[in-house]
Amino acid sequence: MKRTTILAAASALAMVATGAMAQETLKIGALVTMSGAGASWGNGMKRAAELAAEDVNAAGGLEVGGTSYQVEIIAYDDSYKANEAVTAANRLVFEDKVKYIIGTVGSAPILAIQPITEENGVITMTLGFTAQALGADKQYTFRPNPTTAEVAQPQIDWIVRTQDVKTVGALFPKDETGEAIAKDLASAYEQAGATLAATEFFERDRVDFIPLLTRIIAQGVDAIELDGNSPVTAGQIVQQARDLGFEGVIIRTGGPATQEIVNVAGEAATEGMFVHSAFDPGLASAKAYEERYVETYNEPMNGFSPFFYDGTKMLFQAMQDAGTVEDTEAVKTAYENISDYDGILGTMNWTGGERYGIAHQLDSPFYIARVTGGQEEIVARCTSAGCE
Amino acid sequence: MSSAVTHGASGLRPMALVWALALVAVALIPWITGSTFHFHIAIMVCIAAMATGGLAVTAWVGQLSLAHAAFAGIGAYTSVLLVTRLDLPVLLGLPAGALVAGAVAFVIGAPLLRLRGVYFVLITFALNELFRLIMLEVPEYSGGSSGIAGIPKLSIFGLTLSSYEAVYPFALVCLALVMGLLVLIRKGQLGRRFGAVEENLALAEASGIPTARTQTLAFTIGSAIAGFAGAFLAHYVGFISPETFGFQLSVSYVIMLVTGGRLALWGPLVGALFLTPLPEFLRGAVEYQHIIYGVVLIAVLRFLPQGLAGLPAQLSRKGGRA
Repeated sequence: MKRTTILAAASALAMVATGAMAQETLKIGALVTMSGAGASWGNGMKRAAELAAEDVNAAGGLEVGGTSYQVEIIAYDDSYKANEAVTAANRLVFEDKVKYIIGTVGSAPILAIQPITEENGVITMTLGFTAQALGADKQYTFRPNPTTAEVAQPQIDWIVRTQDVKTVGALFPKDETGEAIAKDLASAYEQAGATLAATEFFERDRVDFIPLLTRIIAQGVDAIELDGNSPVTAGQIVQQARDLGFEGVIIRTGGPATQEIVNVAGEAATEGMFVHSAFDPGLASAKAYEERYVETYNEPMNGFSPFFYDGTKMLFQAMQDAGTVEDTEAVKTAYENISDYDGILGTMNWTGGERYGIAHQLDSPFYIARVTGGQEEIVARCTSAGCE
Repeated sequence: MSSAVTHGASGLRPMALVWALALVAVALIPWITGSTFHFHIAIMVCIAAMATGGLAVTAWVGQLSLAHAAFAGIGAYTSVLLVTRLDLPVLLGLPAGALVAGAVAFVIGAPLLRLRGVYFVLITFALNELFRLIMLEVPEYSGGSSGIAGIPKLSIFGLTLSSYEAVYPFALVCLALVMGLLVLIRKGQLGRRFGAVEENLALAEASGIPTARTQTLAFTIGSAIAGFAGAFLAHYVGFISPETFGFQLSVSYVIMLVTGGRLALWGPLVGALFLTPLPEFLRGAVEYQHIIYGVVLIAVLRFLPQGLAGLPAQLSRKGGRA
């Protein structure tokens, strides 16, 4: 009798414990570029997802609809190639059964995987700058980072106004991302009263920019624009432009990558460079994230990483609001409905309804910084209305 | 005729049935596991094997083309443009892609094939780059660097093959047709002519074989097969851009061919079977995938000079000595 009682008590306890501790695994894919020139972006995105997962796992798991989930990140490299991305997406969706993908980095890869992800209701969070990535027919694609289309105009207005820039030269990678940015920048400079006078396109794996820069500098441009280039490539361009004796302004109006550029080009070459920054050093949460990133991975943080950290945390909140991780349509709606999210970069809201036909573009404050001694120093604070 | 071919044709006849059964068993894997991803990999193997089969035909006359991806691209763009702009059925788009790729190869083949060895390799490399750059310059047709998305899926007589499970049998049939064509060529008079040209061009010429015509024919057939495979890839993946058919794709076909067995009849199939899934085993090992891939490749090339298709012959020789 005694034994039966003990057994019954143990079973009851076990049942309660199982009920309270019911833990499952929530798999999230990271389909990013981890090799080649775009690797710093891809790693920044993957690590953002890992750190966000670490947060919820450390707190005992992500509580959704009475179940606690340990979040697991499954990362695959797409080498910035559309075909590779398609195979990796197939694997994530059909083999690993993920319903959420952080990625892709590139524009062509996101366009290539969307037939799979949209058809299967898989929520993706892309960095791809192409306007085609978002659209009313792409209900499950979101973009947490601002693109050139969002940030270029206010920054360029400010640069042209304060630095007396009339003509600008720029080098872009010859792909969808590069061409989208070149188009956005040309119209932004024109609207600001300057001209994107000299442009050169090159293959993404190119490392020698001397011939291209020689042609650009020969046209007597006041400034060189770096937007659209990977952090390492941008660093090489800065270094080689200064080696050629270019003394004008160097600008990067999009794609936060200051630390990587300084690492490649050195402090002297980058001195006085104007860069887009998503960081307000006064914001303790942003600073803390950067410190945590550097401490964890022993590498400088890529500036896109915090956007994907906030984007992933918002996704977790959307799952909790929807009360499900399985029904991605409900999660998508809950994700869309999040407003005034208090992220590490400030207050985040969805925008893009007018520009893309769907409000799946995250809007956040941004800044213009001058690089001094290898560090960013904020000189103007911006919103989509302008920089002051 | 090369040693790989000789061994493939003679010493292994009793084993042929075993290998055929093994091949059937491998082809059945996706149905056994039921995994959609395995279907995807199997379809990619079929496409790669078809394209590499085309490259093999050119290799049989002693030439190595680095423009093979460009011909796959010509086939892909031809089919996609015909299907999307002229509403042609996909089933007609695929052979049309092969025809146009073959026609282009026929026109440029005669002057190009005068070059031999490393010169032919270099000129075809330049040709592949030329194709990519031209396509980037005509965005109204190629989609430029943005590529073309939303390409209509494969369909047969109005029936759209919307699932992976439906595409796979069709891919198998197409692969069987391509391999059947390769067998016909290889076992027939044409194959003997190809072999003679590959082994000793001057001797073949002296024996009355029209060597220039033979090489052009092989290049045309091989490129047409590439065009067909490219068109299949476009309608299966649903997205193409000039970058899809870059130099790297040509190199990967060459690697598959050499790994499988450059002159072996089943080399393209074996190479595609080995190398298409290989990156998938390594995709998770992000830091080491390229190193492991390189080491595996070097090992195969070092220890199996006749490619993987020559492995049974090599094993039986060792067995005979023991």
